[in-house]
Amino acid sequence: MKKIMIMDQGDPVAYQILGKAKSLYGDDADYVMVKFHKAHNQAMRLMEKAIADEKPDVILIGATALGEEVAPALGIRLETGVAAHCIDIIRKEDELAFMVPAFGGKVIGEIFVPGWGPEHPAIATVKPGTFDDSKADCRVIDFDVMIEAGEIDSGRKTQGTFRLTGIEPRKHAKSDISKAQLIFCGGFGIGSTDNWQKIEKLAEKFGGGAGCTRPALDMDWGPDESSMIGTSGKTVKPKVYIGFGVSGAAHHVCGIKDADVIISINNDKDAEVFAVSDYKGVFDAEAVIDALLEEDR
Amino acid sequence: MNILVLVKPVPDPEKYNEIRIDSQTKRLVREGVPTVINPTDRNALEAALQIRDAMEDSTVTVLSMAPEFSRDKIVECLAMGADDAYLLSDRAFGGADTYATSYVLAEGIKKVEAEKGLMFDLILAGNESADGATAHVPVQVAEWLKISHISRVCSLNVEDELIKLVKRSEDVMLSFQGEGPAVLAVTRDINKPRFVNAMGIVKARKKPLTIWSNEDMKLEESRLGLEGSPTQPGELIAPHMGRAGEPLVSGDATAADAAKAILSVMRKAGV
Amino acid sequence: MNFNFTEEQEMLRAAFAEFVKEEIAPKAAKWDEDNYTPLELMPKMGEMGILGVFVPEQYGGVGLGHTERVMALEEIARHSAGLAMMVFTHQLGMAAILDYGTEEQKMKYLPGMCAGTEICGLAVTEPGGGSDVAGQKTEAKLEDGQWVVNGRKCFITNSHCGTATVITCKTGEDEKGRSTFSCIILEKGTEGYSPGREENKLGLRGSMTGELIMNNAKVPEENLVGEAGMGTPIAMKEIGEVGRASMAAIATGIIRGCLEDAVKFSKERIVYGKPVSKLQAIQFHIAEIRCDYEAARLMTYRAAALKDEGKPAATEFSMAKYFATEAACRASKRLIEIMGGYGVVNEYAAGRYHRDALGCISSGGTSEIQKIIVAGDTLKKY
Repeated sequence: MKKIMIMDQGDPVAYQILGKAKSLYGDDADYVMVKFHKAHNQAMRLMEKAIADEKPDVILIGATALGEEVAPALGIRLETGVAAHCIDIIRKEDELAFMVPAFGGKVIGEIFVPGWGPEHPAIATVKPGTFDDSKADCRVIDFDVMIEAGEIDSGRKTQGTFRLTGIEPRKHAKSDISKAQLIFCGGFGIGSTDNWQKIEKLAEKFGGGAGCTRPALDMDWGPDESSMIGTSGKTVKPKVYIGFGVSGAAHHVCGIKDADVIISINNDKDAEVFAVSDYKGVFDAEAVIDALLEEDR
Repeated sequence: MNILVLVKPVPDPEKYNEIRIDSQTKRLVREGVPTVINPTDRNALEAALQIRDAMEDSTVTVLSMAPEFSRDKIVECLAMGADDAYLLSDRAFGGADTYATSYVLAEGIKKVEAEKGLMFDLILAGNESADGATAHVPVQVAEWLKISHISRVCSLNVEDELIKLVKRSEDVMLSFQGEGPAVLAVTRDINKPRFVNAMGIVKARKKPLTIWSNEDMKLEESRLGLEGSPTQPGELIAPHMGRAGEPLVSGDATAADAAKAILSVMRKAGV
Repeated sequence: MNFNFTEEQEMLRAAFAEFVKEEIAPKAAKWDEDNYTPLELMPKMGEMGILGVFVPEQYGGVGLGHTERVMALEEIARHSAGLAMMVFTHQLGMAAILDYGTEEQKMKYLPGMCAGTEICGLAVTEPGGGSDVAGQKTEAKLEDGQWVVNGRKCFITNSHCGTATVITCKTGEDEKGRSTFSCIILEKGTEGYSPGREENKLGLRGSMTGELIMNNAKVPEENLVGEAGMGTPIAMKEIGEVGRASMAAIATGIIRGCLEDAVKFSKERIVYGKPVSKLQAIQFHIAEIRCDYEAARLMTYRAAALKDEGKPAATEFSMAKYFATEAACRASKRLIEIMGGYGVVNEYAAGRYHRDALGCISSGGTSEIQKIIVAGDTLKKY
């Protein structure tokens, strides 16, 4: 009987992971969720306490800004291995294989933590959106409740020798594109802020999401980091993805590989992206965007 | 202020589309892909140089764990402006996962500090490397050294020894203030790294570059390389992402025709 | 014989290439199309150490040599031969001041020129002739401690942007009544001195080429560079070594552009169901371009290395310039042929490479002049 612990930092990824874990182990495992939606600055302390109490075989953590710091730190403190941002987890009898992308997603490698168990838990981070949303549930260690009740000090707002002096909410893309069923994506080929705004209009008009690639983001044409699709950005699984001026670099393609239908518009007839698209159109991106804006819904 | 920058030579990310897996040996084939300094490490080095240039009595040291043939990449860091460099190089270090790598780097930092008789106030690194992209090493180095760490730093400056930074989280920007020693992992938008210029290359000739093997480091072999790694690699797969690539519309169609064709796909898919 | 660059030279090349990739490659086609000269890049190239790479450190340079200078020109010319023309002409004038100027002149002019905040040039050609150096008519008369200069120069690169230009003028006659010449610096803004018409060139756009008009322009006596009467030897030495070296390097850069584009295109262009790179006819073109590139490169760097060793290299530079510029014309024509219809479409660089290559033939001495020089040397040595 394995014990699987999942960190719930308030992001839906915790339950996506739970759903996947249950699909792998079903009744062969005991599941426990460690919940603290507040007190992020106490994450290490709370996780260490939960781990000491529960002695899990596996610890799964969402690969968020917080998770990316907690997981490797736990790895050192527990003297164990950590697999980073897996795109899949596979149960192979007694082995547990974490599928980890490298070289921008061009290559996927299996990572194992030999000898994993309560004394030596396997730790892995999972990107939000990798697994489907789930309504699964399990036993919860609710540190939030304990904090509310004053049983746990939520701690000074520090991170080591640094004091938190300000929190500013980020201006976000209008909706979370990782859930969108229809995505319009602007790549380096869209060329301007005006065209980015047109892509946002397309998304609004047809009820989809507006995404961008890393190069378009770097050009400061308007998209926010949260609109970026790729291995270091969002993973999306829409029914239809339409890319404009996207060249097709591995790290972006990795983020769209599970889309049902991929349409690419690029004025370079030799664009690499055509090899990974269902449909290709050799056109000027702006011309097609304008034509789409004129069409009736 | 004494600053250390961790750098990693990696295969050039611009060429990742050319990386393949040999169907016979199942091993990675990266012939013809040149090595560069990990792009965000250059951002880290630029951040260190900017702090040093604004503060008297400051130094920037570069540290890397890499094969000796990457030496010219370390010289490049000296040419960019670092004051001195250390390269930890030994066959025994190779094949390490982030646990074993961060261990060696941390021991390297301790040895550099002992050599120079100082403690680094700040250790900077790129948030993740282009090849593995785990983002683990900066955090794990900090853990070995038992010092603070903050990742995803997108803004950094030092005023009168006080370090001010901004960390980008999913929903919020967090501002922090404090002092070292600490490991800060920076993101690519923190700055634009300066070009290496001819003057820097000439000056780099005289800057110290020290190479240490395990004979110098004297680390237990069981803690190094594959043997010292709590994770072990299995198979490598090159995911096949190819699709049909059918033309959306016929040869002489217009952009307006393309738009109609796109709408038709959308309708069929029900979006 | 060591045919390899040093590790440091490789690092320099990589640094120059990085700069070119970011600041020059994306814009070169537009500069050509708009006939735009990117003056704003001069200070940036100054910061990169490109402009003064061969100038000693005490004058604001990097203290390296002509091998490194030529390397930078090759990298720039691979993407913008036009910009490379502005850089080399600037360096040509600087070389005259460095080799023949007084300490005061070097300290006055070279630091700003290394930094790219001042732009230099060397003006010899006149409406009456370029190859006919002895026939120059521009004259400078010494009156009350000033040179009074009258005349016209044409086809002068950096004509409209030069802040201090070295101009050859007739300043006397020898015992046989033949004109003797001197090099005199004329600074922008001097009364009576101004650029005239600017040419609209077939190629090498991205640099300004035009007339200089001197109408009783008065400059201080100390603007003389070198000794009076030494104008022709000074100009010929600099053009012969620095000018021709640069043209050879620029042409080499153009050939490399043709080579890289030819390979890329032929691998991607599918005809008869496979890439045209599989067709022998295309392969032959590519092999010829490759051989032209390797030969041009070897000749250019061999001559530069000789100069850096302090050995005479005038004939070697002449041969390199002649060979490389003619090869660039061949290679660019081949590229256009490889590309078929695409070769004559302005969206692709092939046409620009060819126009740039043609422009190289008459700069720094025409191919005919080079052959006269080479024949002269050959008839003595063999």
